[in-house]
Amino acid sequence: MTGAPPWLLLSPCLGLLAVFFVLPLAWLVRVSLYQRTSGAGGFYIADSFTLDHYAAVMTDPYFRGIALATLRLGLVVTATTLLLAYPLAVYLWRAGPTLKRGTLLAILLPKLTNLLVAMYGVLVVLANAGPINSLLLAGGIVREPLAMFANLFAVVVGETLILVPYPVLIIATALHGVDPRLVEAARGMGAGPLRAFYEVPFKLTLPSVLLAALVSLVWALGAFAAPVVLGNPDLYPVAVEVYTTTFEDVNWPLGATLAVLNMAVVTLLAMSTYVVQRRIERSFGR
Amino acid sequence: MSAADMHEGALTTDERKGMWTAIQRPSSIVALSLLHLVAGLALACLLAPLVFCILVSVADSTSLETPFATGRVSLRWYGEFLGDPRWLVGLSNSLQIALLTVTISVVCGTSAAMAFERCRFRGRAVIGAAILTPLFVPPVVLGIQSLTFHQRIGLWGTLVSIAVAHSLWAIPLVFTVTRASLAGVDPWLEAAARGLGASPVRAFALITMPLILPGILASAFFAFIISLNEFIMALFLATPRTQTLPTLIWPQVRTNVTPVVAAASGVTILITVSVLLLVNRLVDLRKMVQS
Repeated sequence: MTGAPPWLLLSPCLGLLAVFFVLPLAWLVRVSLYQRTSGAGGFYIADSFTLDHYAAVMTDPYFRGIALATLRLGLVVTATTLLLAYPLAVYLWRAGPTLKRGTLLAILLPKLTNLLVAMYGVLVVLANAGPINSLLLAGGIVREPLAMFANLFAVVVGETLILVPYPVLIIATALHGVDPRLVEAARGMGAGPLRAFYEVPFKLTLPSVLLAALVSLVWALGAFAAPVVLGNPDLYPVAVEVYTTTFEDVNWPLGATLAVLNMAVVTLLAMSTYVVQRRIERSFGR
Repeated sequence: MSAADMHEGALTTDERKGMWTAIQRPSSIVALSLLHLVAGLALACLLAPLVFCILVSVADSTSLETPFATGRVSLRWYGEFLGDPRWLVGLSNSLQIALLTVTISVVCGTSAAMAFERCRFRGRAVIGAAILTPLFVPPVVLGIQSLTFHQRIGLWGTLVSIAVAHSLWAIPLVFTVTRASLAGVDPWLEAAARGLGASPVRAFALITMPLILPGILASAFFAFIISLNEFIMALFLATPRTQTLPTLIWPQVRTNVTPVVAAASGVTILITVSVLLLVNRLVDLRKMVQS
């Protein structure tokens, strides 16, 4: 409705975000500063105030191990995700109309089905009796089934599968925005097809590759399903720790503390990548 | 190049004239077939888990075997799924939450999209970024912040509690998709209807609404799929009475993996694929990367 004032149209959306996103985040910070209860009745001691949980997380080597596991998984998964996503994005960009639609559906489908279902599927594929091991055994390539689950390999496979649609869509959108005449110009000036690709679309889409890397890293740092279904306790990142602390230890304040710190790292990352991306874009003269 | 030229026909002609002519060169034949190979393998990896999940669900076996291994196809695990009230309650909860999520996110997302495409106001960039922010917050953080807050205000343990959390992800998607389809509608059409004497509401209902309806429907279906399959926030918010299908699958996947899980997963895959195909009929998915 053209005549409606913008604040009226924006109020349902912003109202919901304020009440169910901003307020809960503030409340989460408050909960992380409560003392936990020792007995029954409530999840924290009302009106208490303590920084103990933050101190514990900062000093305890147990939590340092979790932070390292989270970071390692995040970086490895970001790398594998980008390696898989870039060729897929190029493929999507070059594909004809029908192939493009089919490829998009195939890329979106795993993202839109249940995470657990996808992880369960990975588990079935990688299992000792799964198709890969059956083929390897039948072909005489290995004598015993390869241990492909309950380890870092399986977690990386699973998490990459969860994350890959985002970078593909981001990079493919950027590729579609590249002026084809620039590529022809490069070709006209004697560049081979690969050289022309490297000089024009590849370099022009670098800022969005960076954005894709950030999005992957943000999601990978929050990894939850893949490590639990496909990994082992040594590989559990902070998200799993938040869950077990909250539900198995029923320690809401500590769970809230871990979540607040996770959120803080993600926010810092997003802000720094934004700054770097702006600088790259400016160096292109845009 | 004008906006109209950017459409597919022009692009494919460009491709034929431009890059594809390089096919004759041996080096680019290698590069192209390598691209096909890598992309094909990547797509196969993406789809393999879902395909095997379906295969396991229709195998007549108590372990995780495919019909190729057992030689027999059976729907017994689907029978077991449908015969267990726990699964059925979960399915019903999931569907109710998904419908609530669709309602909340379409109301909030569409109205915000209209404000962005049809009105002038200050702070567009900041408000636009704020609406998208929840998409980039780790689901575990959204889960525990909703848990502590909903427990405080007494919403915890209701289906609405989970639907509201899911809306945090659904609203930005509805907002983005609807905005894109609104941007494709000439605002002068509605102005013309107003000029011919239609009231603002009537002009919107008769002119703009039918034009953006496919976009709104597509975004509603996306919201539905997201809510149906989301499980981390649901895991934090669900109580024994508000278990969803994914939160019921969760302990099964962690401990005793039986093919009934594959059947439960098969049900969600089936619903998701049908809805996705419906979306594909409604809107051109390719616009997602070509806008």
